[in-house]
Amino acid sequence: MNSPWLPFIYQYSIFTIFFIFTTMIAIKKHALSLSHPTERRILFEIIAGYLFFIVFHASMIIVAGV
Amino acid sequence: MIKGTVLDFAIIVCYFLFILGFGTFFGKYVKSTKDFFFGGQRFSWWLIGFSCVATTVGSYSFIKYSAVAYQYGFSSTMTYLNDWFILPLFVFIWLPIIYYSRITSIPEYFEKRFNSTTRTISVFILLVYLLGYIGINLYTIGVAFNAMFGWDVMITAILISFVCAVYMHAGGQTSVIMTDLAQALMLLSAGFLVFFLGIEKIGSVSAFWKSLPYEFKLPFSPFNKPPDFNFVGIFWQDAFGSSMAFYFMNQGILMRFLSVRSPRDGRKAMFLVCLVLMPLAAFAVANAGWIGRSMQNLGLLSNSTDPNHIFVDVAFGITKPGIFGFIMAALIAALMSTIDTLINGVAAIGVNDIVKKFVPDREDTFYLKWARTISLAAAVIGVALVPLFMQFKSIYLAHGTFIAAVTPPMIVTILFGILWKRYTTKAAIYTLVIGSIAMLISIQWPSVLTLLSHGVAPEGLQYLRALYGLIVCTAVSIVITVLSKEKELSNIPGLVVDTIHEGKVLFKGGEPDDFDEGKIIHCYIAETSEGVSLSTKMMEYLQAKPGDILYIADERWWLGGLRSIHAKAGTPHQGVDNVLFLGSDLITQGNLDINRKVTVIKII
Repeated sequence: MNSPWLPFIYQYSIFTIFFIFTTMIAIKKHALSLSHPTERRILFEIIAGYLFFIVFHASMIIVAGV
Repeated sequence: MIKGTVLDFAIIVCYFLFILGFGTFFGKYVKSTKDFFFGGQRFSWWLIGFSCVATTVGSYSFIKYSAVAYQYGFSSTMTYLNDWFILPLFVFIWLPIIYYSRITSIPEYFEKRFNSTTRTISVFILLVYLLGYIGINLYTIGVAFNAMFGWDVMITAILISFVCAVYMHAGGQTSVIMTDLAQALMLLSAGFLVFFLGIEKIGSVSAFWKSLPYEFKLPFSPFNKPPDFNFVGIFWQDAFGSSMAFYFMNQGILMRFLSVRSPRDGRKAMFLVCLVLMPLAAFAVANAGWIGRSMQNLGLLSNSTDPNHIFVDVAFGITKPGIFGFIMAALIAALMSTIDTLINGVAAIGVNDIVKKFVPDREDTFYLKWARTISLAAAVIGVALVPLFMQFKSIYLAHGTFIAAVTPPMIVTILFGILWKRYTTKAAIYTLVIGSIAMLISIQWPSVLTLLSHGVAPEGLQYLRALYGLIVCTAVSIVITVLSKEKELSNIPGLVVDTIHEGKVLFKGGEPDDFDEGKIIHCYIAETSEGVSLSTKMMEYLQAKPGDILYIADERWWLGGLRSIHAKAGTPHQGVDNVLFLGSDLITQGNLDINRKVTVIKII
């Protein structure tokens, strides 16, 4: 059987590239202004949400074996 | 065997009548095509969030995800828990572009960004996508009703499309959003009810957990097997392709986000959808399959159960008469809340991209009549497509094949269009045309997908069609752009990420200021002949200047913006602080009650 971590790594490698790429474009093209507190907070919330899903999926893989 | 009792049947009929009456009621709020398609851009984030989820979860979701959940386990949630990666692109780039440029459809965006040829091509592709989506939803509800009452699939499809078309005909987008709220609550609560009743039947959560094998509990299916539900195929087809298509090219979802009172509310709605409601929906639509597998392992369910019927069979097996009717009504709710959005989307494209092109410069009432007529026609065409989907082996395959075959050219064109100012009109046309041809080639000769197989067996290659389409379309886009001349940036204000600021300036008619979170004031209305005037003190509190766009709404939050209006702030008055002078035309347009307080916030 394939390792249960292989899909996890595949998915989050591609998603992370896409996530970082689109965030960098937004910053570079001034669609997102990091000099403003409100926009910084929104970006922080989005990154936190993304990490939440990574942790959530990793937890599900670990808990499946319990 | 026919499932369901007279009581179940009565509950389903009552639900039909309730939605029909509830949806039709909102026809009184529709005075223009803007109201019909965009609900007047007035709604709160939570209403839009629930509405989006009700649209996402179709009747096919309960049937399709319960079936894969029953066969493959928790990995059935793969596609609903993966939308967060889209957020930077959606929130910072796509949402401001569509909102501030005031586009009414994707084809209209294509014409403004490229030319009328791309608009024509995209109209065709989008209509295929939306009408096909209507067809597959009607097909799945037909399958469910066939399992329950033995009804013919086509008769069920005709009946349900008729109910949707009637209330859509009356209330447009406002009806869609308001009925979606009711239907989202209904389908989520029914999904959870199935789980709790299932656990009661099994005995305990512990017994449920122990009855399932290790592989069943994993959040992802194995990387490249089995052929009909392997991770890599599902990832590209559903988690990536379908998600991108849903948020970036689904006319119904586009219109939903154009219905919010501000991009700020659109952002909150997106957070609510991806972080809270989609995970809840993933659980609600799939758990009947998990319960079914557990019951089977414990000897409580027959080994010969058809996966396509597992939702109905489990619901029937764990409920009493009446409750079963409620759960089946939720299935109908899921269907109707998806189809109404799609019908509204078809009407928007029909009016804005076809009727207005051939019959321009007519009164708005003329186009409103056309919108209603096209709504009815969309329902009829959706029914006519049902026999096509009946030919597929499974609902999952039918849905996935259809989405993957249609969407990649549009997704790639939209993404390059908004992200790359150098991206040319010629490249967009070639991407749409060559991309579509490439997709047809892959359907006729699936062996072209072999290079991307990732080790998936030949019979599962169709799931990699989305990846193939994305690669072909991306290559065409880049090569043709490099070989052709770019459009002047000054011709596309607000339509690419580089020019979002210009879009805001055009939207407001002045320099924008949308950084500060809106402070809210509560005040009374005093009717005046025209315009909007707040006291100097209130204007200072809002950090607003004359010319800024304000949002004025009935202070009852639970109306979700149903009674509200956008208006430009006029010169401040020197009178009583908590009084807003508001023109009588604005009071009428916003359906505001002069005897009630309103809330005011600055939008931009």
